[in-house]
Amino acid sequence: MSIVWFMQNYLHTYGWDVMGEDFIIEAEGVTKRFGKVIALNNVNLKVPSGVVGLIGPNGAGKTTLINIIIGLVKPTRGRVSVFGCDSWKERSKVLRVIGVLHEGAPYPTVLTAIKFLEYVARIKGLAEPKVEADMAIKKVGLGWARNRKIATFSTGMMQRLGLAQAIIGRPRLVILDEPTSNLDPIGRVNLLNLIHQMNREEGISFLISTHILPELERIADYAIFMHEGHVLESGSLDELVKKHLNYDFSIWTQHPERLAEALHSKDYVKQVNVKDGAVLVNVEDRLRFAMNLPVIAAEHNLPLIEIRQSRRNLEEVFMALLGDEDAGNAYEA
Amino acid sequence: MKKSSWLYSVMKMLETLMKLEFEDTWRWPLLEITVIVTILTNLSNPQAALSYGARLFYLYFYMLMFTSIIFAKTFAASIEKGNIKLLLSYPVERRYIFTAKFLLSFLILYTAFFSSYLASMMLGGGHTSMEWEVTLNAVGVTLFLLLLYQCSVATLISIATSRGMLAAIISILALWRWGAPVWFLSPDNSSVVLFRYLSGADVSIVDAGLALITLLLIPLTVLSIAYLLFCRVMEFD
Ligand SMILES: Nc1ncnc2c1ncn2[C@@H]1O[C@H](COP(=O)(O)OP(=O)(O)O)[C@@H](O)[C@H]1O
Ligand SMILES: [Mg+2]
Repeated sequence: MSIVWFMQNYLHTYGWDVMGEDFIIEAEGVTKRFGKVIALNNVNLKVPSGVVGLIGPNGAGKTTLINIIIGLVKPTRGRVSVFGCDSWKERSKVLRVIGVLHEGAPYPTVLTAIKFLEYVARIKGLAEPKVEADMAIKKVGLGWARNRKIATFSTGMMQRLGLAQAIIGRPRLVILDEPTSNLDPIGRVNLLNLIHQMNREEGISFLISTHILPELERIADYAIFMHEGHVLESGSLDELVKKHLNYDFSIWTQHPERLAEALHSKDYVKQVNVKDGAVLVNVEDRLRFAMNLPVIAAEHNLPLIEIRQSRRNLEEVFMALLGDEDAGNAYEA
Repeated sequence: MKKSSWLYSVMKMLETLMKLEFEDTWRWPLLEITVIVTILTNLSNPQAALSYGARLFYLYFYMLMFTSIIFAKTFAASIEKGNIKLLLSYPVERRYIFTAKFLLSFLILYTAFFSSYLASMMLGGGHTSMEWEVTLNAVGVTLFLLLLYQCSVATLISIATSRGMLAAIISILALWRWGAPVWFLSPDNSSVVLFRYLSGADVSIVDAGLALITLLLIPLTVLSIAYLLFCRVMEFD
Protein backbone atom coordinates (compact mmCIF):
# COMPACT_ATOMS: atom_id res chain seq x y z
CA MET A 1 0.00 0.00 0.00
CA SER A 2 1.56 3.20 -1.11
CA ILE A 3 1.51 6.45 0.80
CA VAL A 4 -0.42 8.00 -2.06
CA TRP A 5 -3.12 5.40 -1.76
CA PHE A 6 -3.27 5.96 1.96
CA MET A 7 -3.58 9.69 1.54
CA GLN A 8 -6.25 9.37 -1.09
CA ASN A 9 -8.32 6.88 0.83
CA TYR A 10 -8.06 7.95 4.42
CA LEU A 11 -7.25 11.60 4.56
CA HIS A 12 -10.07 12.21 2.16
CA THR A 13 -12.49 10.76 4.67
CA TYR A 14 -11.63 13.57 7.03
CA GLY A 15 -12.20 16.21 4.45
CA TRP A 16 -8.58 16.69 3.47
CA ASP A 17 -8.45 17.24 -0.19
CA VAL A 18 -4.79 16.37 -0.37
CA MET A 19 -4.72 15.25 -3.94
CA GLY A 20 -6.75 18.18 -5.19
CA GLU A 21 -5.89 18.17 -8.85
CA ASP A 22 -5.41 14.44 -9.26
CA PHE A 23 -7.34 12.27 -11.66
CA ILE A 24 -9.64 9.66 -10.17
CA ILE A 25 -9.64 7.29 -13.14
CA GLU A 26 -6.76 6.72 -15.50
CA ALA A 27 -6.94 4.38 -18.50
CA GLU A 28 -3.82 3.47 -20.42
CA GLY A 29 -4.08 1.82 -23.83
CA VAL A 30 -7.24 -0.09 -22.96
CA THR A 31 -8.43 -2.44 -25.69
CA LYS A 32 -11.30 -4.89 -25.34
CA ARG A 33 -12.29 -7.46 -27.93
CA PHE A 34 -15.35 -9.69 -27.81
CA GLY A 35 -14.43 -12.28 -30.41
CA LYS A 36 -14.18 -10.26 -33.58
CA VAL A 37 -15.89 -7.17 -32.20
CA ILE A 38 -13.53 -4.51 -30.93
CA ALA A 39 -15.57 -2.81 -28.24
CA LEU A 40 -12.75 -0.56 -27.07
CA ASN A 41 -9.76 0.40 -29.17
CA ASN A 42 -6.71 1.76 -27.36
CA VAL A 43 -8.52 4.06 -24.98
CA ASN A 44 -6.41 6.54 -23.04
CA LEU A 45 -8.19 8.64 -20.52
CA LYS A 46 -7.79 10.74 -17.42
CA VAL A 47 -10.95 11.56 -15.52
CA PRO A 48 -10.99 14.30 -12.87
CA SER A 49 -13.35 14.42 -9.91
CA GLY A 50 -16.71 16.14 -10.23
CA VAL A 51 -19.68 15.29 -12.41
CA VAL A 52 -18.39 13.66 -15.58
CA GLY A 53 -20.45 12.75 -18.62
CA LEU A 54 -19.49 9.68 -20.65
CA ILE A 55 -21.20 10.43 -23.90
CA GLY A 56 -21.69 8.41 -27.03
CA PRO A 57 -24.24 6.68 -29.22
CA ASN A 58 -25.34 3.09 -28.55
CA GLY A 59 -22.52 0.65 -29.18
CA ALA A 60 -19.81 3.26 -28.59
CA GLY A 61 -18.32 1.15 -25.80
CA LYS A 62 -19.54 3.08 -22.76
CA THR A 63 -20.82 0.05 -20.87
CA THR A 64 -17.71 -1.94 -21.68
CA LEU A 65 -15.50 0.87 -20.40
CA ILE A 66 -17.55 1.09 -17.20
CA ASN A 67 -17.36 -2.67 -16.70
CA ILE A 68 -13.59 -2.50 -17.04
CA ILE A 69 -13.38 0.41 -14.62
CA ILE A 70 -15.23 -1.58 -11.94
CA GLY A 71 -13.16 -4.72 -12.54
CA LEU A 72 -16.03 -6.76 -13.93
CA VAL A 73 -14.49 -7.23 -17.34
CA LYS A 74 -10.81 -7.88 -17.94
CA PRO A 75 -9.34 -5.68 -20.64
CA THR A 76 -7.70 -7.52 -23.54
CA ARG A 77 -4.83 -5.04 -23.31
CA GLY A 78 -3.96 -2.04 -21.19
CA ARG A 79 -4.88 -1.12 -17.65
CA VAL A 80 -7.23 1.11 -15.72
CA SER A 81 -6.52 2.52 -12.31
CA VAL A 82 -9.15 4.00 -10.04
CA PHE A 83 -7.92 6.11 -7.14
CA GLY A 84 -4.50 4.70 -7.87
CA CYS A 85 -5.53 1.02 -7.65
CA ASP A 86 -5.56 -1.40 -10.54
CA SER A 87 -9.20 -2.01 -11.32
CA TRP A 88 -8.75 -5.68 -12.22
CA LYS A 89 -6.12 -6.84 -9.74
CA GLU A 90 -7.39 -4.83 -6.78
CA ARG A 91 -11.06 -4.80 -7.57
CA SER A 92 -12.28 -5.29 -4.01
CA LYS A 93 -10.25 -2.31 -2.88
CA VAL A 94 -11.57 -0.21 -5.76
CA LEU A 95 -15.17 -1.30 -5.22
CA ARG A 96 -15.01 -0.30 -1.58
CA VAL A 97 -14.88 3.36 -2.59
CA ILE A 98 -17.14 3.33 -5.64
CA GLY A 99 -20.81 2.59 -6.22
CA VAL A 100 -22.31 1.38 -9.47
CA LEU A 101 -25.70 1.52 -11.14
CA HIS A 102 -25.95 -0.92 -14.04
CA GLU A 103 -28.39 -0.54 -16.86
CA GLY A 104 -31.41 -2.74 -16.10
CA ALA A 105 -29.81 -4.52 -13.15
CA PRO A 106 -31.87 -7.46 -11.82
CA TYR A 107 -32.55 -6.40 -8.25
CA PRO A 108 -34.14 -9.17 -6.16
CA THR A 109 -37.80 -8.37 -6.79
CA VAL A 110 -39.10 -10.55 -3.95
CA LEU A 111 -37.41 -8.38 -1.33
CA THR A 112 -38.64 -5.07 0.02
CA ALA A 113 -36.54 -2.06 -0.89
CA ILE A 114 -35.17 -1.56 2.61
CA LYS A 115 -34.33 -5.25 3.04
CA PHE A 116 -32.42 -5.25 -0.20
CA LEU A 117 -30.47 -2.14 0.76
CA GLU A 118 -29.61 -3.74 4.09
CA TYR A 119 -28.14 -6.69 2.23
CA VAL A 120 -26.13 -4.33 0.06
CA ALA A 121 -24.81 -2.55 3.16
CA ARG A 122 -23.83 -5.89 4.69
CA ILE A 123 -22.10 -7.05 1.50
CA LYS A 124 -20.23 -3.77 1.38
CA GLY A 125 -19.09 -4.56 4.92
CA LEU A 126 -20.55 -1.45 6.56
CA ALA A 127 -20.68 -1.34 10.33
CA GLU A 128 -24.33 -0.37 10.67
CA PRO A 129 -26.25 -1.80 7.76
CA LYS A 130 -29.71 -0.80 9.00
CA VAL A 131 -28.74 2.82 9.57
CA GLU A 132 -26.91 3.06 6.24
CA ALA A 133 -29.82 1.52 4.34
CA ASP A 134 -32.21 3.89 6.01
CA MET A 135 -30.08 6.92 5.15
CA ALA A 136 -29.67 5.89 1.53
CA ILE A 137 -33.35 5.26 0.91
CA LYS A 138 -34.26 8.62 2.41
CA LYS A 139 -31.62 10.44 0.38
CA VAL A 140 -33.10 9.24 -2.91
CA GLY A 141 -36.61 10.12 -1.76
CA LEU A 142 -37.94 6.58 -1.55
CA GLY A 143 -38.55 6.56 2.19
CA TRP A 144 -42.26 6.23 1.65
CA ALA A 145 -41.82 3.00 -0.33
CA ARG A 146 -39.29 1.36 1.95
CA ASN A 147 -41.51 -1.60 2.83
CA ARG A 148 -42.83 -2.20 -0.65
CA LYS A 149 -41.60 -5.14 -2.67
CA ILE A 150 -39.22 -4.17 -5.47
CA ALA A 151 -41.45 -6.06 -7.91
CA THR A 152 -44.07 -3.31 -7.53
CA PHE A 153 -41.70 -0.45 -8.38
CA SER A 154 -42.11 1.83 -11.40
CA THR A 155 -39.17 2.60 -13.69
CA GLY A 156 -38.49 5.88 -11.94
CA MET A 157 -38.54 4.24 -8.52
CA MET A 158 -36.26 1.52 -9.84
CA GLN A 159 -33.68 4.10 -10.93
CA ARG A 160 -33.86 5.74 -7.52
CA LEU A 161 -33.39 2.38 -5.86
CA GLY A 162 -30.42 1.83 -8.16
CA LEU A 163 -28.99 5.15 -7.08
CA ALA A 164 -29.61 4.25 -3.42
CA GLN A 165 -27.70 0.96 -3.65
CA ALA A 166 -24.86 2.79 -5.39
CA ILE A 167 -24.48 5.59 -2.82
CA ILE A 168 -24.82 3.39 0.23
CA GLY A 169 -21.71 3.64 2.41
CA ARG A 170 -20.65 7.08 1.11
CA PRO A 171 -18.54 6.09 -1.88
CA ARG A 172 -16.13 8.62 -3.37
CA LEU A 173 -17.24 7.88 -6.89
CA VAL A 174 -20.59 6.72 -8.23
CA ILE A 175 -20.81 5.31 -11.74
CA LEU A 176 -24.19 5.39 -13.45
CA ASP A 177 -24.77 3.55 -16.74
CA GLU A 178 -27.59 5.18 -18.72
CA PRO A 179 -29.48 6.27 -15.61
CA THR A 180 -31.97 8.39 -17.52
CA SER A 181 -32.63 6.36 -20.66
CA ASN A 182 -35.93 4.82 -19.53
CA LEU A 183 -37.26 7.83 -17.70
CA ASP A 184 -39.74 10.44 -18.80
CA PRO A 185 -38.48 14.04 -19.00
CA ILE A 186 -39.59 14.95 -15.49
CA GLY A 187 -38.07 11.80 -14.08
CA ARG A 188 -34.80 12.68 -15.81
CA VAL A 189 -34.67 16.18 -14.45
CA ASN A 190 -35.47 14.93 -10.94
CA LEU A 191 -32.77 12.29 -11.05
CA LEU A 192 -30.16 14.69 -12.40
CA ASN A 193 -31.05 17.26 -9.76
CA LEU A 194 -30.57 14.62 -7.11
CA ILE A 195 -27.16 13.77 -8.55
CA HIS A 196 -26.20 17.43 -8.70
CA GLN A 197 -27.23 17.93 -5.09
CA MET A 198 -25.24 14.94 -3.86
CA ASN A 199 -22.20 16.16 -5.73
CA ARG A 200 -22.40 19.60 -4.17
CA GLU A 201 -23.38 18.61 -0.65
CA GLU A 202 -21.37 15.44 -0.14
CA GLY A 203 -18.57 15.80 -2.63
CA ILE A 204 -19.37 12.50 -4.36
CA SER A 205 -17.98 12.34 -7.89
CA PHE A 206 -20.21 10.96 -10.62
CA LEU A 207 -19.44 9.29 -13.92
CA ILE A 208 -22.65 9.23 -15.94
CA SER A 209 -22.90 7.40 -19.24
CA THR A 210 -25.63 8.52 -21.57
CA HIS A 211 -26.74 8.97 -25.13
CA ILE A 212 -29.22 11.64 -24.11
CA LEU A 213 -27.31 14.90 -23.95
CA PRO A 214 -29.49 17.91 -23.24
CA GLU A 215 -30.12 17.34 -19.53
CA LEU A 216 -26.55 16.46 -18.73
CA GLU A 217 -25.01 19.72 -19.84
CA ARG A 218 -26.64 21.46 -16.92
CA ILE A 219 -24.87 19.45 -14.26
CA ALA A 220 -21.70 18.05 -15.86
CA ASP A 221 -18.30 19.67 -15.34
CA TYR A 222 -16.40 17.42 -17.65
CA ALA A 223 -17.28 15.35 -20.70
CA ILE A 224 -15.82 12.34 -22.47
CA PHE A 225 -17.05 11.71 -25.99
CA MET A 226 -16.91 8.16 -27.30
CA HIS A 227 -17.60 6.75 -30.71
CA GLU A 228 -17.02 3.21 -32.04
CA GLY A 229 -14.65 2.22 -29.27
CA HIS A 230 -12.55 5.38 -29.37
CA VAL A 231 -12.46 8.36 -27.11
CA LEU A 232 -12.97 11.21 -29.55
CA GLU A 233 -12.14 13.86 -27.03
CA SER A 234 -12.43 14.69 -23.37
CA GLY A 235 -12.17 17.88 -21.41
CA SER A 236 -14.03 20.31 -19.24
CA LEU A 237 -17.26 21.44 -20.79
CA ASP A 238 -16.13 25.01 -21.10
CA GLU A 239 -12.88 24.03 -22.80
CA LEU A 240 -14.65 21.75 -25.24
CA VAL A 241 -17.19 24.36 -26.14
CA LYS A 242 -14.50 26.98 -26.66
CA LYS A 243 -12.56 24.62 -28.85
CA HIS A 244 -15.31 23.20 -31.02
CA LEU A 245 -17.99 25.82 -31.24
CA ASN A 246 -16.72 28.89 -32.97
CA TYR A 247 -19.45 31.10 -31.64
CA ASP A 248 -20.67 32.05 -28.19
CA PHE A 249 -24.25 33.11 -28.81
CA SER A 250 -26.94 32.17 -31.27
CA ILE A 251 -29.65 34.77 -31.82
CA TRP A 252 -32.97 34.41 -33.56
CA THR A 253 -34.50 37.55 -34.99
CA GLN A 254 -36.67 38.69 -37.87
CA HIS A 255 -33.92 39.69 -40.32
CA PRO A 256 -30.76 37.88 -39.28
CA GLU A 257 -28.64 39.45 -42.04
CA ARG A 258 -29.41 42.95 -40.82
CA LEU A 259 -28.50 42.12 -37.25
CA ALA A 260 -25.32 40.41 -38.41
CA GLU A 261 -24.32 43.49 -40.37
CA ALA A 262 -24.98 45.75 -37.42
CA LEU A 263 -22.92 43.61 -35.08
CA HIS A 264 -20.06 43.16 -37.49
CA SER A 265 -18.34 46.48 -36.84
CA LYS A 266 -18.41 46.33 -33.03
CA ASP A 267 -15.08 45.87 -31.29
CA TYR A 268 -16.44 43.45 -28.70
CA VAL A 269 -17.51 41.10 -31.49
CA LYS A 270 -14.93 38.81 -33.02
CA GLN A 271 -16.93 37.12 -35.71
CA VAL A 272 -20.49 36.95 -36.99
CA ASN A 273 -22.15 34.34 -39.20
CA VAL A 274 -25.64 33.55 -40.28
CA LYS A 275 -26.59 29.89 -40.33
CA ASP A 276 -30.03 28.24 -40.51
CA GLY A 277 -31.77 31.53 -39.81
CA ALA A 278 -29.75 32.21 -36.65
CA VAL A 279 -27.03 34.77 -36.07
CA LEU A 280 -23.99 33.04 -34.62
CA VAL A 281 -21.75 35.47 -32.78
CA ASN A 282 -18.27 34.99 -31.46
CA VAL A 283 -17.58 37.68 -28.88
CA GLU A 284 -14.51 39.29 -27.36
CA ASP A 285 -16.30 40.52 -24.27
CA ARG A 286 -19.43 38.71 -23.11
CA LEU A 287 -20.57 41.37 -20.73
CA ARG A 288 -20.35 44.28 -23.15
CA PHE A 289 -22.00 42.23 -25.84
CA ALA A 290 -24.90 41.33 -23.55
CA MET A 291 -25.36 44.93 -22.55
CA ASN A 292 -25.25 46.33 -26.06
CA LEU A 293 -27.22 43.72 -27.97
CA PRO A 294 -30.69 44.99 -26.94
CA VAL A 295 -29.67 48.55 -27.81
CA ILE A 296 -28.48 47.57 -31.27
CA ALA A 297 -31.59 45.50 -31.86
CA ALA A 298 -33.79 48.40 -30.83
CA GLU A 299 -31.86 50.84 -33.06
CA HIS A 300 -32.48 48.61 -36.07
CA ASN A 301 -36.00 47.85 -35.01
CA LEU A 302 -35.31 44.10 -34.78
CA PRO A 303 -37.11 41.90 -32.25
CA LEU A 304 -34.91 39.52 -30.24
CA ILE A 305 -36.96 36.36 -30.49
CA GLU A 306 -34.48 34.08 -28.79
CA ILE A 307 -30.93 34.25 -27.52
CA ARG A 308 -28.93 31.21 -26.54
CA GLN A 309 -25.50 30.89 -25.06
CA SER A 310 -23.53 28.16 -26.76
CA ARG A 311 -21.81 27.29 -23.52
CA ARG A 312 -22.89 23.84 -22.43
CA ASN A 313 -24.46 22.66 -25.61
CA LEU A 314 -23.16 19.12 -25.56
CA GLU A 315 -25.12 18.03 -28.55
CA GLU A 316 -23.50 20.63 -30.74
CA VAL A 317 -20.04 19.83 -29.47
CA PHE A 318 -20.65 16.19 -30.24
CA MET A 319 -21.89 17.00 -33.71
CA ALA A 320 -18.87 19.17 -34.32
CA LEU A 321 -16.61 16.36 -33.17
CA LEU A 322 -18.14 13.80 -35.46
CA GLY A 323 -18.31 16.13 -38.41
CA ASP A 324 -21.64 17.29 -39.69
CA GLU A 325 -22.26 14.37 -42.01
CA ASP A 326 -22.38 11.27 -39.87
CA ALA A 327 -23.27 13.11 -36.69
CA GLY A 328 -26.95 12.80 -37.44
CA ASN A 329 -26.70 9.07 -37.97
CA ALA A 330 -24.62 8.54 -34.90
CA TYR A 331 -27.01 10.38 -32.68
CA GLU A 332 -29.95 8.49 -34.07
CA ALA A 333 -28.31 5.11 -33.56
CA MET B 1 -14.29 -15.54 17.69
CA LYS B 2 -12.63 -12.16 17.49
CA LYS B 3 -14.72 -9.70 15.53
CA SER B 4 -11.80 -8.29 13.62
CA SER B 5 -10.37 -11.63 12.56
CA TRP B 6 -10.15 -12.60 8.92
CA LEU B 7 -12.18 -15.74 9.47
CA TYR B 8 -14.97 -13.80 11.10
CA SER B 9 -15.36 -11.44 8.19
CA VAL B 10 -15.31 -14.34 5.72
CA MET B 11 -18.02 -16.16 7.68
CA LYS B 12 -20.04 -12.97 7.92
CA MET B 13 -19.79 -12.43 4.17
CA LEU B 14 -20.78 -16.02 3.40
CA GLU B 15 -23.70 -15.77 5.79
CA THR B 16 -24.97 -12.60 4.12
CA LEU B 17 -24.57 -14.01 0.63
CA MET B 18 -26.31 -17.24 1.58
CA LYS B 19 -29.21 -15.41 3.19
CA LEU B 20 -29.64 -13.24 0.13
CA GLU B 21 -29.41 -16.28 -2.13
CA PHE B 22 -31.95 -18.07 0.03
CA GLU B 23 -34.46 -15.24 -0.14
CA ASP B 24 -33.89 -14.66 -3.84
CA THR B 25 -33.75 -18.23 -5.17
CA TRP B 26 -35.53 -20.36 -2.62
CA ARG B 27 -38.64 -18.28 -2.58
CA TRP B 28 -41.87 -20.06 -1.71
CA PRO B 29 -42.77 -22.74 -2.71
CA LEU B 30 -39.50 -24.19 -4.03
CA LEU B 31 -38.28 -25.33 -0.62
CA GLU B 32 -41.66 -26.70 0.44
CA ILE B 33 -42.08 -28.61 -2.80
CA THR B 34 -38.63 -30.10 -2.51
CA VAL B 35 -39.25 -31.43 0.97
CA ILE B 36 -42.78 -32.71 0.34
CA VAL B 37 -41.95 -34.40 -2.92
CA THR B 38 -38.88 -36.14 -1.54
CA ILE B 39 -40.86 -37.47 1.41
CA LEU B 40 -43.63 -38.67 -0.87
CA THR B 41 -41.27 -40.38 -3.29
CA ASN B 42 -39.58 -42.16 -0.43
CA LEU B 43 -42.89 -43.26 1.05
CA SER B 44 -44.38 -44.41 -2.21
CA ASN B 45 -41.34 -46.50 -3.08
CA PRO B 46 -42.87 -49.79 -4.22
CA GLN B 47 -39.90 -51.79 -3.02
CA ALA B 48 -40.42 -50.94 0.62
CA ALA B 49 -38.83 -54.19 1.56
CA LEU B 50 -35.58 -53.29 -0.16
CA SER B 51 -32.47 -52.85 1.86
CA TYR B 52 -31.67 -49.29 2.81
CA GLY B 53 -28.69 -49.38 0.53
CA ALA B 54 -30.84 -50.34 -2.44
CA ARG B 55 -33.27 -47.57 -1.56
CA LEU B 56 -30.46 -45.11 -1.95
CA PHE B 57 -30.08 -46.32 -5.49
CA TYR B 58 -33.70 -45.37 -6.25
CA LEU B 59 -33.40 -42.13 -4.39
CA TYR B 60 -30.49 -41.26 -6.65
CA PHE B 61 -32.84 -40.81 -9.61
CA TYR B 62 -35.26 -38.59 -7.73
CA MET B 63 -32.41 -36.58 -6.37
CA LEU B 64 -30.88 -35.85 -9.72
CA MET B 65 -34.05 -34.11 -10.89
CA PHE B 66 -34.00 -31.66 -8.00
CA THR B 67 -30.27 -31.19 -8.06
CA SER B 68 -30.25 -30.43 -11.77
CA ILE B 69 -33.11 -27.96 -11.63
CA ILE B 70 -31.91 -26.19 -8.51
CA PHE B 71 -28.33 -25.81 -9.63
CA ALA B 72 -29.49 -24.62 -13.03
CA LYS B 73 -31.38 -21.92 -11.16
CA THR B 74 -28.59 -21.11 -8.72
CA PHE B 75 -25.78 -20.83 -11.22
CA ALA B 76 -26.92 -20.83 -14.86
CA ALA B 77 -30.01 -18.67 -14.47
CA SER B 78 -28.28 -16.13 -12.27
CA ILE B 79 -25.41 -15.82 -14.73
CA GLU B 80 -27.96 -15.50 -17.54
CA LYS B 81 -30.03 -12.83 -15.80
CA GLY B 82 -27.07 -10.84 -14.52
CA ASN B 83 -27.58 -11.42 -10.78
CA ILE B 84 -23.95 -12.41 -10.42
CA LYS B 85 -22.86 -9.33 -12.34
CA LEU B 86 -24.79 -7.25 -9.82
CA LEU B 87 -23.12 -9.05 -6.90
CA LEU B 88 -19.71 -8.55 -8.48
CA SER B 89 -20.30 -4.80 -8.49
CA TYR B 90 -19.94 -4.89 -4.73
CA PRO B 91 -16.64 -5.54 -3.00
CA VAL B 92 -17.02 -9.33 -2.84
CA GLU B 93 -14.69 -11.94 -4.29
CA ARG B 94 -15.80 -14.42 -6.90
CA ARG B 95 -14.86 -17.35 -4.64
CA TYR B 96 -17.31 -16.25 -1.95
CA ILE B 97 -20.17 -15.99 -4.40
CA PHE B 98 -19.36 -19.44 -5.75
CA THR B 99 -18.99 -20.96 -2.29
CA ALA B 100 -22.14 -19.36 -0.90
CA LYS B 101 -24.27 -20.50 -3.83
CA PHE B 102 -22.93 -24.04 -3.81
CA LEU B 103 -22.99 -24.47 -0.06
CA LEU B 104 -26.53 -23.18 0.39
CA SER B 105 -28.09 -25.38 -2.28
CA PHE B 106 -26.07 -28.38 -1.18
CA LEU B 107 -27.03 -28.01 2.46
CA ILE B 108 -30.72 -27.52 1.71
CA LEU B 109 -30.84 -30.52 -0.61
CA TYR B 110 -28.90 -32.68 1.82
CA THR B 111 -31.19 -31.76 4.68
CA ALA B 112 -34.29 -32.35 2.57
CA PHE B 113 -33.15 -35.74 1.26
CA PHE B 114 -31.77 -36.97 4.54
CA SER B 115 -34.81 -35.97 6.54
CA SER B 116 -37.15 -37.46 3.99
CA TYR B 117 -35.14 -40.66 4.09
CA LEU B 118 -35.46 -40.58 7.84
CA ALA B 119 -39.20 -40.02 7.59
CA SER B 120 -39.62 -42.92 5.21
CA MET B 121 -37.65 -45.15 7.58
CA MET B 122 -39.90 -44.26 10.45
CA LEU B 123 -43.17 -44.38 8.55
CA GLY B 124 -42.47 -46.95 5.88
CA GLY B 125 -41.44 -49.84 8.09
CA GLY B 126 -39.91 -52.61 6.01
CA HIS B 127 -36.39 -53.70 6.59
CA THR B 128 -35.37 -53.52 10.22
CA SER B 129 -32.47 -55.90 10.47
CA MET B 130 -29.92 -53.08 10.73
CA GLU B 131 -29.34 -50.94 13.74
CA TRP B 132 -30.80 -47.48 13.41
CA GLU B 133 -27.64 -45.75 14.35
CA VAL B 134 -25.57 -47.76 11.95
CA THR B 135 -28.06 -47.20 9.16
CA LEU B 136 -28.14 -43.50 9.69
CA ASN B 137 -24.37 -43.36 9.65
CA ALA B 138 -24.13 -45.35 6.48
CA VAL B 139 -26.95 -43.56 4.74
CA GLY B 140 -25.80 -40.16 5.97
CA VAL B 141 -22.31 -40.54 4.60
CA THR B 142 -23.30 -42.25 1.36
CA LEU B 143 -26.06 -39.77 0.70
CA PHE B 144 -23.60 -36.97 1.32
CA LEU B 145 -21.19 -38.34 -1.25
CA LEU B 146 -23.94 -39.11 -3.78
CA LEU B 147 -25.27 -35.60 -3.50
CA LEU B 148 -21.82 -34.06 -3.62
CA TYR B 149 -21.22 -35.88 -6.88
CA GLN B 150 -24.54 -34.77 -8.35
CA CYS B 151 -24.12 -31.20 -7.23
CA SER B 152 -20.61 -30.87 -8.56
CA VAL B 153 -21.60 -32.20 -11.97
CA ALA B 154 -24.70 -29.99 -12.06
CA THR B 155 -22.60 -26.97 -11.08
CA LEU B 156 -20.07 -27.62 -13.83
CA ILE B 157 -22.77 -28.04 -16.45
CA SER B 158 -24.67 -24.96 -15.23
CA ILE B 159 -21.61 -22.77 -15.47
CA ALA B 160 -20.50 -24.22 -18.78
CA THR B 161 -23.87 -23.61 -20.43
CA SER B 162 -24.84 -20.43 -18.54
CA ARG B 163 -28.41 -20.98 -19.70
CA GLY B 164 -31.05 -22.01 -17.17
CA MET B 165 -33.22 -24.41 -19.16
CA LEU B 166 -30.35 -25.93 -21.10
CA ALA B 167 -28.35 -26.55 -17.93
CA ALA B 168 -31.26 -28.33 -16.26
CA ILE B 169 -31.85 -30.65 -19.20
CA ILE B 170 -28.20 -31.49 -19.79
CA SER B 171 -27.60 -32.06 -16.07
CA ILE B 172 -30.54 -34.47 -15.82
CA LEU B 173 -29.38 -36.40 -18.85
CA ALA B 174 -25.75 -36.48 -17.78
CA LEU B 175 -26.49 -37.58 -14.23
CA TRP B 176 -28.94 -40.14 -15.50
CA ARG B 177 -26.65 -41.58 -18.11
CA TRP B 178 -23.34 -41.53 -16.24
CA GLY B 179 -24.47 -41.38 -12.64
CA ALA B 180 -25.31 -45.00 -12.11
CA PRO B 181 -22.17 -46.37 -13.77
CA VAL B 182 -19.99 -44.09 -11.72
CA TRP B 183 -21.76 -44.87 -8.52
CA PHE B 184 -23.05 -48.39 -8.59
CA LEU B 185 -21.58 -50.37 -11.42
CA SER B 186 -18.00 -49.16 -11.46
CA PRO B 187 -15.44 -51.96 -11.30
CA ASP B 188 -14.41 -51.29 -7.74
CA ASN B 189 -17.94 -50.47 -6.55
CA SER B 190 -16.66 -47.73 -4.30
CA SER B 191 -19.99 -46.62 -2.93
CA VAL B 192 -21.09 -50.17 -2.17
CA VAL B 193 -17.80 -50.93 -0.46
CA LEU B 194 -18.09 -47.81 1.65
CA PHE B 195 -21.74 -48.34 2.45
CA ARG B 196 -21.10 -51.90 3.54
CA TYR B 197 -18.17 -50.86 5.69
CA LEU B 198 -20.26 -48.19 7.39
CA SER B 199 -23.15 -50.63 7.92
CA GLY B 200 -20.80 -52.92 9.77
CA ALA B 201 -20.17 -55.53 7.08
CA ASP B 202 -16.85 -57.30 6.81
CA VAL B 203 -14.84 -54.86 4.72
CA SER B 204 -11.26 -53.90 5.42
CA ILE B 205 -10.61 -50.35 6.50
CA VAL B 206 -8.05 -49.92 3.73
CA ASP B 207 -10.63 -50.73 1.06
CA ALA B 208 -13.16 -48.45 2.69
CA GLY B 209 -10.60 -45.65 2.93
CA LEU B 210 -9.68 -46.01 -0.71
CA ALA B 211 -13.36 -45.97 -1.64
CA LEU B 212 -13.91 -42.81 0.39
CA ILE B 213 -10.95 -41.08 -1.22
CA THR B 214 -12.16 -42.03 -4.68
CA LEU B 215 -15.66 -40.82 -3.93
CA LEU B 216 -14.37 -37.52 -2.60
CA LEU B 217 -11.80 -37.04 -5.30
CA ILE B 218 -14.22 -37.22 -8.22
CA PRO B 219 -16.62 -34.48 -7.07
CA LEU B 220 -13.86 -32.27 -5.73
CA THR B 221 -12.03 -32.42 -9.05
CA VAL B 222 -15.22 -31.63 -10.92
CA LEU B 223 -15.89 -28.79 -8.50
CA SER B 224 -12.43 -27.31 -8.96
CA ILE B 225 -12.89 -27.33 -12.71
CA ALA B 226 -16.30 -25.72 -12.21
CA TYR B 227 -14.75 -22.97 -10.09
CA LEU B 228 -12.02 -22.21 -12.60
CA LEU B 229 -14.65 -22.07 -15.31
CA PHE B 230 -16.77 -19.79 -13.13
CA CYS B 231 -13.89 -17.34 -12.86
CA ARG B 232 -13.37 -17.49 -16.61
CA VAL B 233 -17.05 -16.92 -17.34
CA MET B 234 -17.09 -14.07 -14.86
CA GLU B 235 -14.46 -12.22 -16.86
CA PHE B 236 -17.28 -11.68 -19.33
CA ASP B 237 -15.38 -12.15 -22.55
N1 LIG C 1 -20.46 -9.49 -23.94
C1 LIG C 1 -20.33 -9.05 -25.21
N2 LIG C 1 -20.12 -9.92 -26.22
C2 LIG C 1 -19.97 -9.51 -27.48
N3 LIG C 1 -20.01 -8.22 -27.88
C3 LIG C 1 -20.21 -7.29 -26.94
C4 LIG C 1 -20.39 -7.65 -25.56
N4 LIG C 1 -20.57 -6.52 -24.86
C5 LIG C 1 -20.52 -5.50 -25.74
N5 LIG C 1 -20.30 -5.96 -26.99
C6 LIG C 1 -20.14 -5.14 -28.20
O1 LIG C 1 -19.23 -4.11 -27.92
C7 LIG C 1 -19.65 -2.89 -28.47
C8 LIG C 1 -19.78 -1.83 -27.41
O2 LIG C 1 -20.87 -2.15 -26.58
P1 LIG C 1 -21.28 -1.33 -25.29
O3 LIG C 1 -20.07 -1.13 -24.45
O4 LIG C 1 -22.41 -2.02 -24.66
O5 LIG C 1 -21.74 0.07 -25.89
P2 LIG C 1 -22.65 1.21 -25.24
O6 LIG C 1 -22.80 0.93 -23.80
O7 LIG C 1 -21.89 2.46 -25.51
O8 LIG C 1 -23.94 1.19 -25.96
C9 LIG C 1 -20.95 -3.18 -29.22
O9 LIG C 1 -20.66 -3.34 -30.57
C10 LIG C 1 -21.44 -4.45 -28.59
O10 LIG C 1 -22.16 -5.20 -29.52
MG1 LIG D 1 -24.57 0.68 -22.68
